[in-house]
Amino acid sequence: MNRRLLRALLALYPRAWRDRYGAEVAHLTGELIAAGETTPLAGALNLMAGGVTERGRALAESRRFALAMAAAAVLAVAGSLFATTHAQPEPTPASLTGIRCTFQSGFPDLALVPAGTKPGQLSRALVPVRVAEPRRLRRGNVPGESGPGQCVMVPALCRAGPGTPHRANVPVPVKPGQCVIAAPGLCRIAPGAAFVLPWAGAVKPGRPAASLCPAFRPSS
Amino acid sequence: MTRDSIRGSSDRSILILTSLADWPKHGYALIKDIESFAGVKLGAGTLYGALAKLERAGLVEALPAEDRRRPYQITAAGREFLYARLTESARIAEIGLRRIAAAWS
Repeated sequence: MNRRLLRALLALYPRAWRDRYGAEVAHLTGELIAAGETTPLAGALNLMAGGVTERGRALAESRRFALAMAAAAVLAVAGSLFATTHAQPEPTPASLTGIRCTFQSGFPDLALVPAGTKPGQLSRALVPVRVAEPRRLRRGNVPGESGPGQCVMVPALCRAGPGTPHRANVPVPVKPGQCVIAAPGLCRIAPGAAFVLPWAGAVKPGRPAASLCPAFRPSS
Repeated sequence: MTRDSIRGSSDRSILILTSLADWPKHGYALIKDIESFAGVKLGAGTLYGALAKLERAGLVEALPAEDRRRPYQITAAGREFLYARLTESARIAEIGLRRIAAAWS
């Protein structure tokens, strides 16, 4: 069997199959013909049949993949529609800013997570911190005036803990001075913020800190 | 349906695994061995189609090529699979033979 015909026959196979087995199957076909075990015609027909079979298998696999992707897309759309129609409006960051508070003694802190936060979900939230060194606070992070011993809300990325209820107990909208309770979570202080956190002492920006969620008493 | 047409790809896989059960073989040796013990002559395309399927399933594995020939060997999973299939076939064969004998007597 000449090389051109052999190449044409191997082209019937999917590329991945050809790359892996093409040289071997071509060599074996040549061996069989040379040994008189098969004729060039029978060898060519066998390669042709094998190529059609492998193409069909590859096509079936790609169809299965396409169907799986389509099913996933339908599920994703249905899920987002469900979430949109059933979700409560989330508080905007603006509605959470401007809270000034003092902690009750013995209660470390509180994280304000948006309503509808699910366990494990990473979301932007505001965490209260006790101001120790106000001069180190970056402008824009701290609403209004603050001084040592006072609590301010600072932006952070929070991951809700496993015990987080599906709808966090955060009033919507949160009014300044309102007493709220949120769920346990793990909070990461936004880069650029440098605060002394009541629950863990000095926590550096970007370092996660466990956050239990007790109630707190508004200062006003 | 002819007698030959009921020999499916799984039969080819069993033949290949049986051939590899003792020691590794390359394509040509596989074809000759299968022909000798089963009377079935596989073509190169057919053999490699089945080998590719068996390799994907982890039942056989390729060894480094020797002089443009690449030997294949059965894996532990392949041996287990072959043992289970042959045991099942033997059980069915025994039942079938017993029934045929009963019908003849």
